[in-house]
Amino acid sequence: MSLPGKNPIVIELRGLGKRFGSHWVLSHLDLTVHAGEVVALFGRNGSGKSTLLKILATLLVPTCGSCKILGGQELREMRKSLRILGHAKQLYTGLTVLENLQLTAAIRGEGASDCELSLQRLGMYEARHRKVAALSEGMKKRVVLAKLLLGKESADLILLDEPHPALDVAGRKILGELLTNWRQEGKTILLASHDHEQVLTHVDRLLVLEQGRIGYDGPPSMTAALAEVKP
Amino acid sequence: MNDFIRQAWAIFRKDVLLEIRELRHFFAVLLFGVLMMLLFSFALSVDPDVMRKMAPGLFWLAVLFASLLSLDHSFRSETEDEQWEGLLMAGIDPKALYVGKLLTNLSFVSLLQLLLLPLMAILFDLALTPSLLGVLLLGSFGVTTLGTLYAGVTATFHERQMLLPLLLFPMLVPVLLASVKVTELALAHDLFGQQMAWIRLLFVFDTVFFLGSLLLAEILFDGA
Repeated sequence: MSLPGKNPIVIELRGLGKRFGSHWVLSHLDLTVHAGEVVALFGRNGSGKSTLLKILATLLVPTCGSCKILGGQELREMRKSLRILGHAKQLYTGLTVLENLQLTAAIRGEGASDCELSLQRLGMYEARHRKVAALSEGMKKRVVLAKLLLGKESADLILLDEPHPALDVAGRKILGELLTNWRQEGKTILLASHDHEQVLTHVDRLLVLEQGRIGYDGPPSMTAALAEVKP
Repeated sequence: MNDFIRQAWAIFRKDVLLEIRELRHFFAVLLFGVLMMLLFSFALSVDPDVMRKMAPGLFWLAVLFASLLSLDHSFRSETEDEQWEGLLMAGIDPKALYVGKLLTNLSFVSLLQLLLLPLMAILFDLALTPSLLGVLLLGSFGVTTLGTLYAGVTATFHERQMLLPLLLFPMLVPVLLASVKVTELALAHDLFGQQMAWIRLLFVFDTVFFLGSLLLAEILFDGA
């Protein structure tokens, strides 16, 4: 694995800010992430983690500052190289598990065989003909992760917003394996979480957001991670 | 182009599957349309000749109100759990999303019209002609091109059920007028006489609305 610092820049934020009404959720944010870096994003509730990930995913426009992702490609091309797991599951509950994946695959132009492989990887193959409405929350989360795996070769930047909740022990183990694989494949990953122990073993770098600003940016350490819970 | 067609077809297929599995929605809209026709017929029980003359207008009003329910419903599946964002992140072309939704709405409204047509014939004592089918398709295309765009734009608003008719109805006046006139003339078996002008006018409205909506969808359906 090459040193991330020598790799091209994947994320470059300069003076970035985001305001909702009169409240600044993010302010004066400067950040550079190189290809192949796996970055954990910690911070208390409301510190701006999800907002930052949505801006990086091109789903929110910053109020000020600049945000250059994946070298500033054209929006739709950029989205093809992005994967995001957010709070919303974005599944159609009236469709089956397989139909949900087939829809994403059809839009991305991926082969239908990818869907079954992804489901097998997530241990959801047996449930592929079940409607999403009939699944538990943990199973739905696995389906969302299976969607992330579709066309993973084209994914350069993976954004994960609190992926651990709702997953059972086996699901967390699979997620851990996915993170390890992605890291070995040189994917750039930003992972927002409150689950310090689950995350710190997988990352190269830790960012702690405090009231919309970066409070810590450095090597992963439990001490820094715990800074987010100080009063 | 292939990507565009594949994506539009994927959205259409997904929507049709969801509609088939939730048929109660279609039946509710159909029942609403039937009730509208019955109410119009009972409320305006006048001379049969006058009724026959009013029938196309009343038919299109019933179709328009019923269509509004289905247009509003058509984007609900994209906003329940941020599915729209999921489609954008999968790399969908906003224009393909629009065309997929348009195909769904057009199929829905056309089916609704087909089922309401015999009822109109019975209630207003009219003889149906095959040319009516083409006329209805042209009219419903006009209603759904603009209706799909506006339904998408208002989909995330809390007041969307009120906003959609407020925004849509004024814009639909020319399509509605032309559709009523052409339907009236088709029922009078005079479709290719002086009435061809109305068909041309309807065709122009349909084309302008479709191209305009397609261009706007590129911007308005793109989330951020």
